[in-house]
Amino acid sequence: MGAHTDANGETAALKKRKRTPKDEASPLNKRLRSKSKTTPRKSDIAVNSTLADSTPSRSDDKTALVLKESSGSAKAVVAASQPPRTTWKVSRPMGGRVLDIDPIFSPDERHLILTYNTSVQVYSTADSLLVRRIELPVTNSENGGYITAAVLSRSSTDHIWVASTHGRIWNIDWKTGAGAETPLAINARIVDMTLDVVELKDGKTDILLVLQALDETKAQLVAYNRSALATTTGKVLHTLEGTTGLVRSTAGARFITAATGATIHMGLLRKSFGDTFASLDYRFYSFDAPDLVACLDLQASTRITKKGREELQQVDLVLGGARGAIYLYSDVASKVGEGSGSKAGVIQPRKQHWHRKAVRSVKWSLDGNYLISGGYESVLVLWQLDTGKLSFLPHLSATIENIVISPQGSSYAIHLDDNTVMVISTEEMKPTVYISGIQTVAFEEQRSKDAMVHRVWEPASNISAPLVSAANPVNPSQMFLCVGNGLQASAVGALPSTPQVQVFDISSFQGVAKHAIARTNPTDANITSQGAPIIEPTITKLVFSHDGKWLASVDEWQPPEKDTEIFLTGTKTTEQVRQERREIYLKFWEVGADGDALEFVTRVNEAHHTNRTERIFDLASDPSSARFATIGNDGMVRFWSSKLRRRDGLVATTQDGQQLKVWACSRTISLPTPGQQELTAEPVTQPHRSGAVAFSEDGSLLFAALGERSEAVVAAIDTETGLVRETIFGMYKGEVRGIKSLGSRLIMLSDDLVVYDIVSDEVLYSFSLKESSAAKPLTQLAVNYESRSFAVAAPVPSSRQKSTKKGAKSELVVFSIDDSEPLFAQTFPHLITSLTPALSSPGFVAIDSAAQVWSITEGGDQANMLRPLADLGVEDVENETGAAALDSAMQDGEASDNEMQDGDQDMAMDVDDDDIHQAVVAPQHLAEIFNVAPAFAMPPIEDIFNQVASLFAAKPTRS
Amino acid sequence: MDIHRCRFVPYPTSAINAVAFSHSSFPKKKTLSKHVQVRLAIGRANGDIEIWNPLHGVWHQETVIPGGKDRSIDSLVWVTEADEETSDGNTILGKSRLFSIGYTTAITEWDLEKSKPKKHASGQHGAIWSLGAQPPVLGKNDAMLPGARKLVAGTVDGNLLIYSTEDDDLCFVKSLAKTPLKNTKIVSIAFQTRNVVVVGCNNSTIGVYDMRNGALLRKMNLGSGIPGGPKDIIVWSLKCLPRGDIVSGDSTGQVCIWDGKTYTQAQRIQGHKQDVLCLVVSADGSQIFSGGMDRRTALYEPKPGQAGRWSKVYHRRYHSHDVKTMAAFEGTGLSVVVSGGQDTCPVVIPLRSAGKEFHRTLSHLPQQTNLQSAPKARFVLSWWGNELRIWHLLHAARKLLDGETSGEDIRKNRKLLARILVQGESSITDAAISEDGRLLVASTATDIKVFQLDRDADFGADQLHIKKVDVVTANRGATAVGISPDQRWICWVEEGTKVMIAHVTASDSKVGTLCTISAPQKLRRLKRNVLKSLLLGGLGSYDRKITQLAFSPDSKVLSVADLAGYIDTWLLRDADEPKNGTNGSAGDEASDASLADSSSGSSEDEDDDNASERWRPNRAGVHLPKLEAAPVVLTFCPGLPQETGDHTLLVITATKDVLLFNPIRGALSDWSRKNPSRKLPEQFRGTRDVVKGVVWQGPRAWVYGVSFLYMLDFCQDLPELPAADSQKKGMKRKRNDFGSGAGGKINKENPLAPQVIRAATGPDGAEWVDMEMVDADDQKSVGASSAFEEEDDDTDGGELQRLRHDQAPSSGDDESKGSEKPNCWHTYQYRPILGIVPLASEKTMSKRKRAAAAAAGEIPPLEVALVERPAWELDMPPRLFGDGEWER
Repeated sequence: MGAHTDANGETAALKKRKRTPKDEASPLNKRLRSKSKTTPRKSDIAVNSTLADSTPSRSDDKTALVLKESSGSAKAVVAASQPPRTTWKVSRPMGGRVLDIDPIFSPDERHLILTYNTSVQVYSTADSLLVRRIELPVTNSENGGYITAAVLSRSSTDHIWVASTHGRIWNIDWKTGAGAETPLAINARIVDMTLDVVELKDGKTDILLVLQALDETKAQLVAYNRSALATTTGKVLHTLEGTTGLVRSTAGARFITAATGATIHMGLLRKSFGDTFASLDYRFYSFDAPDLVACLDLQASTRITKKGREELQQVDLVLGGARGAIYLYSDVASKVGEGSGSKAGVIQPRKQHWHRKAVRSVKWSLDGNYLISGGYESVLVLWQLDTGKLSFLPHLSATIENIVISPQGSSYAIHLDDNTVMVISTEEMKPTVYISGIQTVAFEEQRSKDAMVHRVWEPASNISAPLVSAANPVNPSQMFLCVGNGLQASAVGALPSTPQVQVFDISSFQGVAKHAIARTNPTDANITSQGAPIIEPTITKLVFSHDGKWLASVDEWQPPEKDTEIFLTGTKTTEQVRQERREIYLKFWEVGADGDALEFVTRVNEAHHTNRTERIFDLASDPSSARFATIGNDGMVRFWSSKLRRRDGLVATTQDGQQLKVWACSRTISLPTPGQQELTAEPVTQPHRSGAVAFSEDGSLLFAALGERSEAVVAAIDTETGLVRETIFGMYKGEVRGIKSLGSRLIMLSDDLVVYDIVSDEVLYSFSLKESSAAKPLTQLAVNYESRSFAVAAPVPSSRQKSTKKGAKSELVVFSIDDSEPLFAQTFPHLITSLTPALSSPGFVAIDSAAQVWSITEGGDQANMLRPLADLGVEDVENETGAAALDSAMQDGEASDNEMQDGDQDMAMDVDDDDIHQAVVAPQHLAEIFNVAPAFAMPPIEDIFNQVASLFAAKPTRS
Repeated sequence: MDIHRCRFVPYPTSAINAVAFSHSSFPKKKTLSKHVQVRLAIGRANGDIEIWNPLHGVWHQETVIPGGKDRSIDSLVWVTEADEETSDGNTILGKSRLFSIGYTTAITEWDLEKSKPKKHASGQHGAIWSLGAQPPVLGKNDAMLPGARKLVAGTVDGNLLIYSTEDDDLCFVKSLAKTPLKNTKIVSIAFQTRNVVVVGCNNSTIGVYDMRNGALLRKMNLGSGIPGGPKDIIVWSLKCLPRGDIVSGDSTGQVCIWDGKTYTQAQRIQGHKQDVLCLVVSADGSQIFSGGMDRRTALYEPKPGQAGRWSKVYHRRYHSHDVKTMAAFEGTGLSVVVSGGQDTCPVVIPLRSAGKEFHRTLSHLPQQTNLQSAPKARFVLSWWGNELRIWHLLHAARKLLDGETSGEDIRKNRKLLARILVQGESSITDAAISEDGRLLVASTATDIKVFQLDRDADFGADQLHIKKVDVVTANRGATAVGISPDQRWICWVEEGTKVMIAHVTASDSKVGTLCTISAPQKLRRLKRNVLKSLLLGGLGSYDRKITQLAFSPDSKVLSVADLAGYIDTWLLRDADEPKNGTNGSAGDEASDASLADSSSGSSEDEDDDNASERWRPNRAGVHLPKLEAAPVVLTFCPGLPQETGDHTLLVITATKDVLLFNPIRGALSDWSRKNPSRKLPEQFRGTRDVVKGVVWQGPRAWVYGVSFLYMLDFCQDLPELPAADSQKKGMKRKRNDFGSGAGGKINKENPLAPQVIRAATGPDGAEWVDMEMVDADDQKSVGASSAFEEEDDDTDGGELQRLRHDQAPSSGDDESKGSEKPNCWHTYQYRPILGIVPLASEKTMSKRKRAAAAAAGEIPPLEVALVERPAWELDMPPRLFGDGEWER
């Protein structure tokens, strides 16, 4: 390395020196080497679950490790060993992504059962609270299975049947969670499953109708009952062409419909079947529908024959097409001549077309007079069949995935693509239940129904950028997550379109609010005239000020490649054209008291610029004052602080007298770069610049790292004077990906992870990271001041996958600031997309690509994260005694004694809690009491109290 | 062949305002259905009435009755009277009479044979806005009983009028009822029974009146209009179902079903986003079609299991603009709805096979090419309305192609030489220009104009000097005109059936050549043995109307053909020729008289002042067979090697039979004998469009229709058909090719209604059987069910699809053949073709040379002007956009 002089030319207490980390690290290496001679022991730290599938598996020697010694010593395997003194542990995951499977109402409509990608969750419809989370051992790594169907048992409504593609079928008691560990296995890929209760000789039994793939081109429709499942020898009813499809049945399995591609197969139960499972006999017919079938629903009416047998009278079939039309086949069973001669009639469907893209869900209303459908347009469409009139419930928050009519027909459950489920009452069309999960970029388990027909664009199949998130310092359980309009809407470009911020409370596990902080096209037809999606900006940075009153965000947008053709003049490349038209905004927001209001304060159009807008690499917040710092591609560091807004020389105020503030750049510092004396504002030709900034813990110094040509400089800037106090070289190898300051240490992330002591001016230890280039952006660094530790999460390199597609795993390692020995290391079954320190508690919060939230904490300090009511033991006790709830808690098994005691305590309060849930007093009743007369003419206060008390007092139970 | 692709020649097609079928269905009796002449009348906004023959799905536009200045057809009604049994056991089919209104106070009856109005009737009332014909008296089995049918008309001022059609007459009888409210317009009329008329008004009401006494039986109200729109709903269309229920379509886009007994609203279906303009119900009342301003055509069917309830099945956008009018026809092998509107194209929609068959859009261009050329002068003549235009194509296409061409050159290559507006109110029916471009004949319904065109040197070569030439006509006008190639004769057809010929003498004078035209001579047609019962009933002698007229290249033979398929020829005999010449017999004169129609005998008969030449009927012509379908092409073959004095006549019929006759001998030519029509190539016969004309290139005929250009070489025989299926195909194609009269079956794409339902027979669905489906149109009764199945594979696909499909291999064939002369070739590259006319290259070969070349088998070069009139170039009023309609 050549000679070098400081850009500022000043001599401070800290002398700038050229560092050679290799030399510095050599003693450390020795230490590590000596440690690693001891064989890695299996650690005895508590892992909450034994279900290896759904909880993070311990990293062992077999998995490729993220970290290795930077000196290149092959033996140095670090993460496997666990010092016994630390008590870091991982909570059980929460959340997940609701799958494209119809939500299930319990028959009494008191519960709603949702199928998530890793679990089945039971919610109470009275208060939208999570009652039970039943984890299912489905992992996306093991032969690619995912849950494909979940249906409520008809014979015993406490049970649901869940099937996954890799041939597992669970029979789960959703009231206790039993049965999740013991799946039944059939040796085939399950495409779809439905269930109906059939009256056999030995009473009514559930018959599972399973559509299972036979080979590459064929599928079979197989019926199973409980005993057939045990022996895995079902009764084959029918063979179909095609390996994707749907199967539905109605009227006690008298009528089965299976759809593969555009072919409809109808099976009618022969009247002569002999009352036993073995004699189930169907006559099948098939015909072609005009379009690929995206969804279907059946409606049947039966009549009682003279002999007293129930008989199928009329079956109406409705299909939702992949091109947006709905086809309604009335009375299909009689058209194929069932019962009357052998001649078939003309099957003429009625075509209704409103949707522009695939109909995601279509359902009959209970009375058969309406169809309810939904899709990409995020509009619930109600078709009045008699008049042909449509009514709409528009502006839902995302694409409608599933619609379910409640058993009484009084409400619709609607599952939306933004990971929310709501129940809407049919009368007022108002939501009564709202369950919103984390709306991150997650891997889709199934292909979207819109993808059944060829589109001009393909949604992105890999996750290329981390989820930008921030925790609110005022309310640490509030996570601010940058999201798009639903999953599919955001997965349209190279970077996900994430113009919105979802405020998610992990303590209640509910979405609190959603703010658009960049340009959005929320419910409009988000398509250009050529059919390509309109790409929205991506929020790349989101940082709170130390007091939580201000939020700074950076969003980027550049025109998609195909839109740049007209600008291609001369020798310009597409990339140049795109960069010229890039829009990068730095925005400042005032955060409301509850964190659910964001008020836009300032937008800086070109925070960093040369002759064009330049990227903002990093954004940091001063931990001591309301101040932010940014570093950009122009090689500058800018400080941003607020000042009073002036209008005509006077301070502008709001109507209630509050002074208005505005954010502006308070200082600009040009960074020294290696090999260049002075930075000019000339266009930056280097394509690979990178940078990061971090404030020291006390806010007195700002560390700015700027990399160029795989060589980076770190400058320590005095935040008071703006002078560069020191410059450090040679710390970074490759792209600058992060810098964090913890005490006197700097943690620097590039291709190496380097921990450097700024006081002693030495590298404490360093590691190099093994990772593919695609996974690089997903490596994340977080620092927790509370526990004086930092964590690194990185995708596990895999020989099979180059990109971060479905099935990728992540590893998370926690280091103490003082010790090169990791405190904790674990492999997670999904890709970690976001890693943030848990504010005010010694731990970290990780969000993965299955939209699950994990809390990694030290000691018994539980993260402030929601657990299901059943785990807490405060489940609705209508049907369950406390003992049963206790049992269920005990069945979970892994719960520590500590937790059990918590549960018991909660149990003690149970009765009171329950009553509070029950007493619902309508405001008009109170008004009746208090508004009878003017204040002076009111009845005695005692009477009023008694009246009010009677409202709240529990009514005597009927039993 | 060098082609000038001309799009600059305008032809403004007018919007369709009315369509009507002469019958609603074929009679039950099969013997009768053979003779029943079903016609479709289409009325356009410029007053044209077109008569179409469905012809088992061929859809041949037989005649156009041209309208005139400020005229329009706004509603058409056919009144078909009851069949009569004569004493000798024959049945006289009921007469079909066509009535029209045009937003005036008059109702017009049309004489189809003479192509002109037969009678106007009017009374003291406002403009008539709607017209309906009283249903016939029905006897047992819905048989029509004799009984006069009245016309009911609704006026702009709310009057309901009765017109009588009794005794072949049309007269105003009385005003049936008058709505008390002002500003009430009667927009639609339907008949519930013979005596109950239902009228729809523009003030949200539907009135039900008793025809016998004018009593208002019930007034039904539709309520107020949609919020934000006009207060009153306009009931644009009304129809009655066979069981008495009333269907209405209104300006809110809703189709309402009214109970026919209680006159209460039973159901209201939002079928359209904008006004419903027209409705059609099927004969059995199981289908309703509606068309509207949102361009949609919607189908409704009863809900299964719910008696009396209807539901919309689907809608399609067949039209690119308002769907204004619809009519339905059902019969064996034909079950269609024809709709028309602002976009000028009639669309044929399958009725019973809705959802299983394609629709078919008929051309907006007329069947008879209104394009002529003077090849030697390189003039192209086109006409429409009362306007004639003459274009001059300056340079040969070869020159443009070979030279250093630029777009400008091509644009400069044309010149509009003259625009002639014909005086008078009626439009031009036909026009002709002589080969050298010096004589122009144009005819209207009232007059015949002859112009002499001189390329005056004084004005420069590109200027035309137009001189009117007097011609003696009986103020009758003509429906067809022709000029002989040697320009010595002008021939025209008066009143549809009378052939007149006049001699043209050109005499040099000081001012140049002067043409004078002699008094016309009437040519007698051969008497044909037509059943009297047919002449009296149905459309009368409409099918004797002459539509084709052709002179032989040496101008010595004149041939005409009528719609019925009879061909008449006349020979020119010099006066000095002995009376009993080679062909003429001694009793020529006498036999003429005996042959002549009884009607002829008029005064202008024998007064030929130039007794030197006379046209005599060709006696041998009686041996020419009656064609099976109306001829669409009648032309003499100029380039075929033949004996001197002999002629070959090419006839192509609407059903694509190609026949070569020797008219003088009265026999089929050798080629025709060897090459029956079924041997014609598949692509030619399979194309649905009717042939429009022929351009000759030596022995090659370039046959064109609206979408195709086909070459047939009459010097070569057609390839032999594979022996096995030649017979079968030839016999059966005709009926089944066209399905139920619209487009073919939908097979390749997924149709709305599945074509096949299969039932599984294997234990686990391993085997399948196709189920027999009960077709609404019982194919078995036609006796062609089996053929239907077998020919699925070649009757599939849309027109376009098939064309594309077929195009590739055939062109490949041509290339592979290379040096060998192909005997047929085709292209679908040009469309829609208004017409193709030949042009002579600048240095024409001398006759002798040409004859020599022809003898040597060489194909002379050919240059043509091909005029395309794409539909998108039509000027249409701006379209209304509805909610959510996107133009992509």
